[in-house]
Amino acid sequence: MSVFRSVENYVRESQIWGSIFRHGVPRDRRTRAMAILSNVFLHLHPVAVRKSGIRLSFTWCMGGLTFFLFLAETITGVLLMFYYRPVVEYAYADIIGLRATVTLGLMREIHRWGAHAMVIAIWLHMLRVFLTGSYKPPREFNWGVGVILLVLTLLLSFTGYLLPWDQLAIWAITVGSNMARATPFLGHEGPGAAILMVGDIPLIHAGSDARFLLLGGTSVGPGALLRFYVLHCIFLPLIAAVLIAVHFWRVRKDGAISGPL
Amino acid sequence: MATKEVVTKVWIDPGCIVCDACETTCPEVFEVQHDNETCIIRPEALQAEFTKPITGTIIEAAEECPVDVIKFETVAVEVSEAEAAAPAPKAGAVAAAPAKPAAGASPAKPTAPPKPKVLDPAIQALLAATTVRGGHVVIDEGLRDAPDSVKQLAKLSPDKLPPDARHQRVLEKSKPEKSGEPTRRDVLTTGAMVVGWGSILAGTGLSTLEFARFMAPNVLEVSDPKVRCGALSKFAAMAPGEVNIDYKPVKPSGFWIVREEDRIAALSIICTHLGCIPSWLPNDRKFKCPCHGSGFTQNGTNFEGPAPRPLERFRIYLDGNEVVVDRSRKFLAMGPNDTAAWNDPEASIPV
Repeated sequence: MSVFRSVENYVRESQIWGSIFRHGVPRDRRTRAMAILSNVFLHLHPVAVRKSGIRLSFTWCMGGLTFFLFLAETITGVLLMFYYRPVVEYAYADIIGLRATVTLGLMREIHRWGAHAMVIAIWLHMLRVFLTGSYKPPREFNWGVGVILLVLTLLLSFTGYLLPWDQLAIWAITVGSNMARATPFLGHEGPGAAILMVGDIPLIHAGSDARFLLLGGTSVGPGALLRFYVLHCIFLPLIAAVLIAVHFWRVRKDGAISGPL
Repeated sequence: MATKEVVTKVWIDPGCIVCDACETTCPEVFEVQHDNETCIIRPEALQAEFTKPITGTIIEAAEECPVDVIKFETVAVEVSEAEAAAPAPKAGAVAAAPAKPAAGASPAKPTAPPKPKVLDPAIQALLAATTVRGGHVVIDEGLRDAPDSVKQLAKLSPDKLPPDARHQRVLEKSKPEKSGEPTRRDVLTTGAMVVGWGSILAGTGLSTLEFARFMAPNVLEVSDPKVRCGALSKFAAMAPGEVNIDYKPVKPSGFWIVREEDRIAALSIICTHLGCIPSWLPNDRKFKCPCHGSGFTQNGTNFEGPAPRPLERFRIYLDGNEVVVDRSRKFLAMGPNDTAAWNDPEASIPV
């Protein structure tokens, strides 16, 4: 053990360790408290949880699995960005290339199956929270955050669907984005859009409605591909990451994992 | 007569994280106040008579506190033998705890009657420091009767206080009793550490290698370095001193085809100074670089400006009757008077 002890001491006394863990070795009350307070990960995680609350039969571990899948999707997604170009000329060829010519291009399949698994896991997580009544006060705010995270996950899945730029992708997004035509007031075929007129001129038409903004055009084309790529890689993951932090933090602030009813 | 320890005073230091553990264990004494973000001692529990009978539960709650802010003070009271044996093992263990170090410290008086427990000086100092820093009201009175040494300690900054006593005891317990033959536990622990850390390091290393391999593409998109430029007759018809600029925009690197007295050659359009693209000025009969003013004659020789050597020439050859320029091979003249490389048979086509 003395080898480990000396290695541990060497690491702990190094300048790098001291720069990351800015408290001393946790040997008294103050530094032990600082170990928790100055660490973002330990600070997010509850200090105490009910033993009954972490039973697998109670939580199904679905929230944790969803987060794990989010991390896996982030890592594989960043790696895929090294080979994928969101331009009409190259998008499909790059996806085929990932399968055919890139070592460990399997990353793309992992990303795709992980995305399916994440959607399933987040639904099951929501079902568990509902069945155990964990949405009740004081956790009603966190239920709201969770619903937003669910929507973000579905949007991430939807935007990622277009990126392979094959027939399935193009027609799926064509059908999916056609729903935006029927948005009340904001879709040009939706209820209320006809009211928004200035004289004879409609304010909401095929070139100005919600679908137009979503696709960056009137059909699924190069603009939509680039737009969905940015939404998929930057915009939605950033919001999701922030809300995940809030979600975990609120779990802690609302008294850790809820107990069984 | 035997003695047992009873709790006479219980209080909560600052730093409570409102985790509910104490109220779950001992609701008679502790009350969680989420609004105030702290736990409090119920008013009735501030009296020693209230806390004495539930000593075991209070100690249990204090030990369960994840941030160790529950503090209590005990006093040894004399009880009958039967009563000492009767209480829960918890209380018995607590009562036995102070006896051990006393026996170790003064082996000469093993039969001395147990004295009323004196608080660990380090804990007293911590309590005192808490008081001085505006701590809990319940222990405000405590410092008045404290010994001078504790009052001295109380003036110190909390950082300079000795490490707390409870942790010291843990450290003492975890010290190996003898340093000799490794025990079975040592061997198993070392083995588990080797396997665990080994797996983590191997996984990290393997992922790093795989990442590096992933980043190395197996297929590259490069344009064909060979450019087919059409029949030789087109260039043979040029007058000596003429320049064909049709292939200047070819990506990624264009060229001019120039007619010399008895041959044609392909000149790279990259300036040999800093890599800008010069222009052919037909009236001045020179290539002029817009960046720093380098000038090259019609055959690529540098004659003005900072360019250190003539324009580079690409391999040019005939495929049947068709002129082909191969940009994967260059012929470099190292100065205006050092143009021997241009005489290579593949550097030009005689016409």
